Amino acid sequence: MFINKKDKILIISLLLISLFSILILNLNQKQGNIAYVYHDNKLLKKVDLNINKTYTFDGDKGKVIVTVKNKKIKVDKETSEYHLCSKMGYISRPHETIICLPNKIVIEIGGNEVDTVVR
Amino acid sequence: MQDRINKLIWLIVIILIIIFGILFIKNKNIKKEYTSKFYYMDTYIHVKVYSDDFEKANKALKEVEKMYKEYHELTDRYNSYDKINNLYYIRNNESDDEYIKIDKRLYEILEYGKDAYEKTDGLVNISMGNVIDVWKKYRDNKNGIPSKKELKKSNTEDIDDIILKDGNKIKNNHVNIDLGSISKGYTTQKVGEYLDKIGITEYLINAGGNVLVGKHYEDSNYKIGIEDPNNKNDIFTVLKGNNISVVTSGGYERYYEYEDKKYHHIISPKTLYPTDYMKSVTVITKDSALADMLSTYLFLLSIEDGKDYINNLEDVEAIWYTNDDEIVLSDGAKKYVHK
Repeated sequence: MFINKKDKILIISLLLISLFSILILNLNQKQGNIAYVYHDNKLLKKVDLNINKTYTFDGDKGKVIVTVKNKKIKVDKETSEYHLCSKMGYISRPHETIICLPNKIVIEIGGNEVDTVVR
Repeated sequence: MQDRINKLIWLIVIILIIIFGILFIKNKNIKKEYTSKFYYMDTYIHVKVYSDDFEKANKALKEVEKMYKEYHELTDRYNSYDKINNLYYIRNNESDDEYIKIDKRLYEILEYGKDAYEKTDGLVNISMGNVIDVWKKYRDNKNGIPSKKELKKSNTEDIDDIILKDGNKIKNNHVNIDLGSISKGYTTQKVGEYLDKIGITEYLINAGGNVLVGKHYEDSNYKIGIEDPNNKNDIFTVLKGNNISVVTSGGYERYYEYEDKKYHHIISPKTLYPTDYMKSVTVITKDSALADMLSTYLFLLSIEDGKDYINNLEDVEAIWYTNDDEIVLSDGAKKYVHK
């Protein structure tokens, strides 16, 4: 037989392990509070994810428009050939990143450096 | 042979399901973050509580929002609310009674305010509503600044006109009371006490910059950033702490410009004009009402006088951001600075 009993054990165990790993990871709902926006590795802005707002940054190819909503951040519009950045959708968990190569813009969610900001 | 292998497969599957089940249940008991956001007291208020009890957490958040709403209505100078004898009522009521009844909670804040006047040598003065209204008028129109004469003329009331009685009455002097310098901190403190009372000890509250944190959700420290007065959305320092309140007073939050000069919203009861001693001051202490009151006080004092005052107080620290963009710490503030 192509698939024997031992393979079945392996497949089932691997499936179960991956299933519960996904569940465990998703139960840790820590969200980031700050997103760092870099252009060409230079820090442009520390964005407070607790405030819903739209920002415009200057990338290498043109404007990159970034939106914060409900503690998530995404690239709304970008000046580039394939628009891969805006297709990435929202990120919100610490250390998640959006990298816009043509514009050299990188957005990274902070690893809980700050829980809140006093203004 | 087949039989043994079958049994082995089932054994492994069952063990994995048990492990998976245990870990799933264990994770359900991890404290999760529940948040709520609302707008009262002229500002956005964020509340985060950490709990393993979904119902308890959501009930608490609802109650917290209710508390902010009620204190907002009680301390609202500009609006009346049905059946609520608030600040607006105190000023505008048409009753003939010598004393009018007010909500017990409002009574207690007014007592706190009167006490604050004594403690701050009159710099935190809740009876300055008339003077604040004059400045607000000019700030809204942005076409001038009030003259000293106009300000002096408006300053007709003082703290002794606020006469409290019997735990729930105030003399019907129609005083123009402004609780802006203490209401956020006072309410936040009450909210913190409520959360502690119902057993939610891990929380973070940010009421428009008035921050109160309980125990940290992971046995670490809350990291609290302080806004850079020169650069909104940038932070000049990060504080760390547990069971502490952090409140900043700064001229950069609310001001208007006239003839190239900035006029902010924190008016000195002594000069009747905004002060110019620093860009911001941050107070760190356990009680949020105290932190709010002291941040206003220190903002109206020179940095030298403020430092002397704080260094003589136990369990209160402060950080000043000077007009020259330097950072000054009180003697014990370093332990709260993360970076």
